[in-house]
Amino acid sequence: MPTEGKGETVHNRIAMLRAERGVSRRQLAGALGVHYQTVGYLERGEYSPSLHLALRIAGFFEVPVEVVFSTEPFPRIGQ
Amino acid sequence: MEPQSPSDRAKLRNTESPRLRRAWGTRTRRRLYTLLYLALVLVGAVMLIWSDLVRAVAVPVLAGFVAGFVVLGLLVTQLNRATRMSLPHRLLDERQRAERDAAHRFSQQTMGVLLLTVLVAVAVLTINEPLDVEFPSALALPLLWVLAMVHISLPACYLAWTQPDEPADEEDEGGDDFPGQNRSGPAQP
Repeated sequence: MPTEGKGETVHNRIAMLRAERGVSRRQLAGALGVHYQTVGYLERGEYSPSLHLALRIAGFFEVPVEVVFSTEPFPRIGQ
Repeated sequence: MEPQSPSDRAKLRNTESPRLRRAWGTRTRRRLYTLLYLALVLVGAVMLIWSDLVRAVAVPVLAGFVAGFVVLGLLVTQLNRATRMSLPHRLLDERQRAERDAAHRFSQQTMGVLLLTVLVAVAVLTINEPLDVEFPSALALPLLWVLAMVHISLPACYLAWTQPDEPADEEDEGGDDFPGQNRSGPAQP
């Protein structure tokens, strides 16, 4: 989901990673120390995280940050 | 965001209770309360003007004003809880802090415009006295009342007006919690 603001677009795969790992929004929010609604905002692309939060999200999923966030749209599964 | 003290935990529990969030989850309801609050502030201003003009009934008017003030206090408390303005900064996450900062920025700019407008209007009326118009002294207290109330509650009103409907808790929805899957997840950072 993209986050747009002042011409900057950040796409993320938080929802996909969360679904793949079977983690609820509340669990992810609890691990990150944010409100569970913030996870929803992030997934819908309505909020762009700080670098610190982005790194912690990547750390939670144990993947490099560029696996979770990108300035280019992620390819759809099957493409 | 993590509450450290019993007081912080109580504040968070009080503000994040599912019952409260359900009650204040819709923007329509928050906007209605905001309009009611602003209407009461204006009614208070009118009562102050009236009490100045009709001094014979000043005591009943003052009693009504005090009662209205209590209702306003309750409304502001509810608006603060609905918009999480009641929580200290340390209990908010970065998105909520950004929202609150935006509300304070908007309020600061709006109050600046309001105060400058009042300043210019009063200055023009008292210094230049165009067309022999004097600033009516009966308006001084109501004007201060409106400015004070707007200053106190504008950030909460801004958030109540602009925040979208809160999404239902995913555990209530039951559709996004992946109940059949492994809940342990990866190691936490």
